[in-house]
Amino acid sequence: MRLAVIESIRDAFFYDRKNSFVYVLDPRTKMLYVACIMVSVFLVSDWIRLTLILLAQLPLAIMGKYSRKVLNLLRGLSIFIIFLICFNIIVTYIVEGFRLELSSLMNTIPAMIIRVIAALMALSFLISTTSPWELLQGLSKLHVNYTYLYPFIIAYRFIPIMFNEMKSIYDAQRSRGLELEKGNIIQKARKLIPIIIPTIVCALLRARDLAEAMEARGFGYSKRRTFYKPIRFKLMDLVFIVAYIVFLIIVIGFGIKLCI
Amino acid sequence: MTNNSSEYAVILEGVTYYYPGSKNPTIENVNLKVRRGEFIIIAGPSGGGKSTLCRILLGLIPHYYGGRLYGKVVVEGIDVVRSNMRELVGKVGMVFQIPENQMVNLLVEEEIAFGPENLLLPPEEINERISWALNTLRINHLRQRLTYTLSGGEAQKVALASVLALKPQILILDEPLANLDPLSAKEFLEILHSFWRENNVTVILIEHRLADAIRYAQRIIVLDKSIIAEGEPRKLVEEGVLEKHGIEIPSISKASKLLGINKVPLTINEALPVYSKLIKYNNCNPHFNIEGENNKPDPIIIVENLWYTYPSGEHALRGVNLRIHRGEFIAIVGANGAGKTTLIKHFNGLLKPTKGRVIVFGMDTRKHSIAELSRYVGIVFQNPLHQFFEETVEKEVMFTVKNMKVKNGEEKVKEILKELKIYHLRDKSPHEISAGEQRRLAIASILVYEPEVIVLDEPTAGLDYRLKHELLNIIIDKMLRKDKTVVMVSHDMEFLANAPLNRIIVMEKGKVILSGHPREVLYRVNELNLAKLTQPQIPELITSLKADKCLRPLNIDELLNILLSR
Repeated sequence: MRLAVIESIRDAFFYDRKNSFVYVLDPRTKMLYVACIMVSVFLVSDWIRLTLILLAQLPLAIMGKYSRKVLNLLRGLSIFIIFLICFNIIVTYIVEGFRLELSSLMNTIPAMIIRVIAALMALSFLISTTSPWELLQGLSKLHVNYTYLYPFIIAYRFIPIMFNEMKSIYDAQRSRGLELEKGNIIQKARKLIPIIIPTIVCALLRARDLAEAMEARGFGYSKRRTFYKPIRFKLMDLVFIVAYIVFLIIVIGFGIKLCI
Repeated sequence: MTNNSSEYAVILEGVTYYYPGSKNPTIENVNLKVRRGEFIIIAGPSGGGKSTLCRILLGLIPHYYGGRLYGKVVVEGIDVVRSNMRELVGKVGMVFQIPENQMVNLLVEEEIAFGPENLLLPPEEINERISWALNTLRINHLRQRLTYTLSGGEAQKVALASVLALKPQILILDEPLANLDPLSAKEFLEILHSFWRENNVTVILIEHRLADAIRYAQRIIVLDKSIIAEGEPRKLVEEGVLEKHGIEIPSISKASKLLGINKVPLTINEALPVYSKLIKYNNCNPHFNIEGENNKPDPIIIVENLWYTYPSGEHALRGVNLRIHRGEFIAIVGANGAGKTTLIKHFNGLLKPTKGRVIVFGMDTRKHSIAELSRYVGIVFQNPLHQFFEETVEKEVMFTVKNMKVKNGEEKVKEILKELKIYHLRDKSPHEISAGEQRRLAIASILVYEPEVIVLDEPTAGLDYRLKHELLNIIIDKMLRKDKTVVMVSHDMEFLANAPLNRIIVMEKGKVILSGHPREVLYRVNELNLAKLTQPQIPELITSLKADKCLRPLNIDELLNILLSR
């Protein structure tokens, strides 16, 4: 059960190449797009306009063929979202002087849920349609040194591998009679040691292998590096980003008019 | 100096190396010269310093590891100790043992571009090299694949391509076949060899399973701390040098030596002319019997129409039926991803059936806990490092004893450590001992509570010839003789040919496609190839001679018995 949750989240954030124009967009465009969405969902607070922002992302999800991933992600995060809602209700209850007004809750809770979903969709768009290598190049063009970025790529690549390895380790220890379910909290914590130590040892061995393989292929040879497929800001990028910015400005601006 | 450096790709003179903090040298007084364009194999026991030698040639030692390095190391005319690693980058390329650990990027073409990008080559040049590397290894279809979806064989070829993209003059491969299934391993060697033939590179292949590789080598070097033997492959085989040092030679060569054949063949093809005279096969009655599927009553494990589907929707098992009886010795074989490990995880309830059922000693696995089922079925998984966490060998075994509440635990631990000959190591850390000792420790920590059934997942992985032999003896003496049931998952075909198996079960894509006596299964070439397996050498010889209707020896002993009894 717990594993299924983690797996659905991992799946949602994993790059998977498909044929669609969203894969051809410049990573810088996509990063800018995500930044715009993020800023917008925090500027806007009523659920109607948040829904508009959410709906505006749907065409991308469908064209980028990652809508299934977003659904998986939501399913995985549902517990987290419910927790967030409860937390919010409690906080409002305390802040409002220990009283609950149903009408204000009816406004804030849907808004909050939609905000979270909209933000996650944007992030999922960036990560599941852009390979880490493209992100790396995008950031390099913004003068970030590539040696600082590679650790993230490696983490991104090796976390699923280590996760699988941890499952194998858990199976090996359960076959030797380890029962995590039994005992109180302290006993349970102690029972994690047979899983944690082999995980760390194996991760270190992997890290050694990887470091050697990278070193042997010239990683860190120079402060700069070239890219075999240089990214270019194309007309399509311009149309894409202008369209979304105009849309977002209208949505936000519409709200300002409402306020006045 | 200039003359030397143009003739030799590698010159090692009196090389001795100590890892930081180590009092004993890992390699000692190594002298080796490798000519340009030579194809050599370095063999030797596990822990004999082969990987250390690779690190020296790459410059990782001393520049990355530190430690103390004595002697002279010249690679491609560059003095490794005096220069820095940058001068060597691109000149020496290396493929490592585990494919997934050497891949950095997500896309295959990005992975191949990685090296040239680091060396600041222009994009046009890099693209040219990507296409060249992919074409040379005939893996153009993998170009846009994600690296984590590749099979072991594909991944290892991509790893090779990503090294070739640097156009190295020396290519080092550190046991590149260890994690591949037999058919992929054969294919990988063929591709490597044809690349070497068409390009003027030096190849240094580290490998201790020589059965497939030996035909390609011009020279074999045996390394056990220092170089203890070297020479032309056939000469070493004929003189018995390799066997003396515990290195596996092709079964066909070994058999020929025992038969006193003059020019010892290294491959089946070389052997055919000689053996076609020795083995006559006209109009015979079959001399062998194939005991069919075991129909004894009271199976101890019953698998009925077992389906298992992963949360991702992937069907790992599709309707497996199986009965295992007391005292049987069974091998489950098949390609990586055929569902072997998924199947054995059902035997002690680690996985529960999606459909169908598994009955273990009368217990439905869905209704009983892993701890209960494990008392009857002990599983030793592939990687011993997945279970070690205690400070000492003894405590490691005690862990199982305590969990399983074994009576007289401490005595049992002593007993089993003695039986598996690791008692003298009881106070050492499980991480300090050798690969073979680690494997025995992993087995000890299951055997100690005396389960009725012992399941071994790829027990020969990473073991050299001598250690495999030792393992087989442990299985026979400590398990089969005590009337235990042993189930082994493996794709080590030569090992299977020498094991006293009752049955081999061949799996492919989640189904059992063949099940029967080794004499039946190891002669079914089509099914074996479908499962990415190859025949062991002696059955391959007999099949090539089309004599398999009459005789079906599985290993050298059986072949000799047949030939000498006539």
